[in-house]
Amino acid sequence: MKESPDTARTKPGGINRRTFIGGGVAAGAMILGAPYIASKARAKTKTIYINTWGGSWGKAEAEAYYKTYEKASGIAVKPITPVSFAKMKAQVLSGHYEFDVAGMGRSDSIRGLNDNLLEHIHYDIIRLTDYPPDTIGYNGISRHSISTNLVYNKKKFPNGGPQSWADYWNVEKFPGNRGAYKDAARMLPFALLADGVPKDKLYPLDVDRAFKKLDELKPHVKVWWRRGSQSVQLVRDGEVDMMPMWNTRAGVAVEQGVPIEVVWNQAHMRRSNWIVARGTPNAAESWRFAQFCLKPENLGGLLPSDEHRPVDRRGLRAHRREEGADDAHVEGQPAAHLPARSALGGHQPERADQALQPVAGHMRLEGLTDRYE
Amino acid sequence: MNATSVRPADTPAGRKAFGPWRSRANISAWTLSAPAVFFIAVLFVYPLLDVVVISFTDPTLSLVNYREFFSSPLYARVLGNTFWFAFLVTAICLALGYPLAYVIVRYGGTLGFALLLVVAMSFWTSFLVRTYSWLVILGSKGPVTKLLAWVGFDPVPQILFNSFATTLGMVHILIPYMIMSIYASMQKIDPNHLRAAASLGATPFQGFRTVFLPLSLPGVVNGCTLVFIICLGFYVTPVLLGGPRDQMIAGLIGEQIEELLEWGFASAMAVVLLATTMALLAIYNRLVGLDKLWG
Repeated sequence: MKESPDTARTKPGGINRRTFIGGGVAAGAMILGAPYIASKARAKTKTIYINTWGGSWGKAEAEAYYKTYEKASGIAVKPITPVSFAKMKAQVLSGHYEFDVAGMGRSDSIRGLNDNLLEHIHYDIIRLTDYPPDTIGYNGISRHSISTNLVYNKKKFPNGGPQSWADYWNVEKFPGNRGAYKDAARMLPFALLADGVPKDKLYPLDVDRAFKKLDELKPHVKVWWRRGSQSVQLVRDGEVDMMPMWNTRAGVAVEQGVPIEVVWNQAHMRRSNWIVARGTPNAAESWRFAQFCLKPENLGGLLPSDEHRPVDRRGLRAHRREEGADDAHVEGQPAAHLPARSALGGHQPERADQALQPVAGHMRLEGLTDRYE
Repeated sequence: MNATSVRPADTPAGRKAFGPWRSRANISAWTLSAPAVFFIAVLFVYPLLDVVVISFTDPTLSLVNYREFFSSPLYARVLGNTFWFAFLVTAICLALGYPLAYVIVRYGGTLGFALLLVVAMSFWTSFLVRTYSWLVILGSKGPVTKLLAWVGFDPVPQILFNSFATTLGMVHILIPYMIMSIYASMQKIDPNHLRAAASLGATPFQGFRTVFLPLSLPGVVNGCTLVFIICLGFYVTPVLLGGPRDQMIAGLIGEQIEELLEWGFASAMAVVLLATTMALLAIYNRLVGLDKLWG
């Protein structure tokens, strides 16, 4: 039977070789720590593979990018889910690529740079002058940002809930079940803020001081969440009364009618970067795809369906124009690099400086887990 | 070949020829098992050896990963936790599973079939679905909490996000393995043995203790080993249902791989887990005999 290389690799709906091998890699890695099983060498085709999240985000992305790009360029875009930095490392080390391009956090970019896993930006495609300063760096280019905010149950605190991380730590003034986010890059700065460190003095993090502060909180933490869906379940079922949570997921919960208030004070911002796996045969195509997605008219396309805010203000402007707002109105909006609800007039930080600008890459992640108990 | 053809061994000539055939049968046995051997070698033995190699060579050729493992009290404690937990879950599965398998085999009929069906359906349902169901059932808005509040508990004790919920979830997920293997070995027991015991004057309990129980032991050993080993590598359920202190070693390994990219250290942890498991199995083999595993 003759099959084109493309159909041989991917059949919609069924278990294809990629998912099979990927599943094998994941299962092996999880159970035994087997880091990499060589995946099948791939022929160069007119398809690029993007490592991305599934669910509502994946759907929004497919609508906004994949189909339009396929139409514009003739190159098919297929998603590989979920985002896995370990897989990125495995494929660069083994030389067999399951995906070419990925949207990952900027701190992942920095880690990737340190481990030499990332393809350099092809500056003939991504032209420096086309983008706002500070969006290009660490072999990646920023696309949008999300934040981690304090959320609390409005029913539990009808007369005003916690407004800062110090309040979140204050179990006498705000009694209630705490949830915590099992992520050192967020919880450590939160602990330091609660301990009174001014936000412009956070980095480099005083890790020992942060853990000492976390020890205070430890007896009051009912559950540490790890996955976004888990955090939504925790607030929806009323398991916790306050918790750090992604603004995107919090927005989903609010839309579902969960009575939570999203606090913007001392929110922790994180950017998502486009990065390309080092050595992939589709590097140029990948950067071309990233360049396409970053065009203001396309960047805005992702907004209505999600809470993410593009880092490039022009993307916001293009989107607002579609909604009928004029440019002057957009300029009155909070800084474009801040995350905010997509709909006008939604939850937004009152001032740009209320959200933090972390430099996550500057902190050492090694050796932190053994203190998390 | 057609349906009426006679196998060579059934004809006198064939029977005579069977001797020299044996070596050829050996060859064909090897040929038949070659794909499986190849599969295991490529997909299991090689990656496993690779894990061992990485544990000593990443980031440099040294024992640094093992030193890190043994110098922090956390890892030893989590490892101990994992084994204790696996033991607990196995014991509960056995205590609950054995009587159930006994009822299915001894009473059979509609009741046995219904019980077997329930066990099988539970077995076929994804463990993630079952884990999330416990989140709903035990949650603060779930039926169990409501019942406790109705009975008069105030405040209602927390039943989710602790060792109790983890144990419950794990037992629920793993008990079909126990029941199935005990059921399989109990079914092989000839009821005439029990009748013979009774005819020699044994009470039903004596008959059970001296005849039925020993004959069903291979299934018990098999089920315990299965549940114990699966339990050691499980971590999704403890992560979702357990509290901060119910961390399993597999969860830490996954964290090292996925979040921290410390593959050398993750491999060392995996090797320690494997070595500890092997050591336990060796002791067990000395005491009980692993050959019981295969009935």
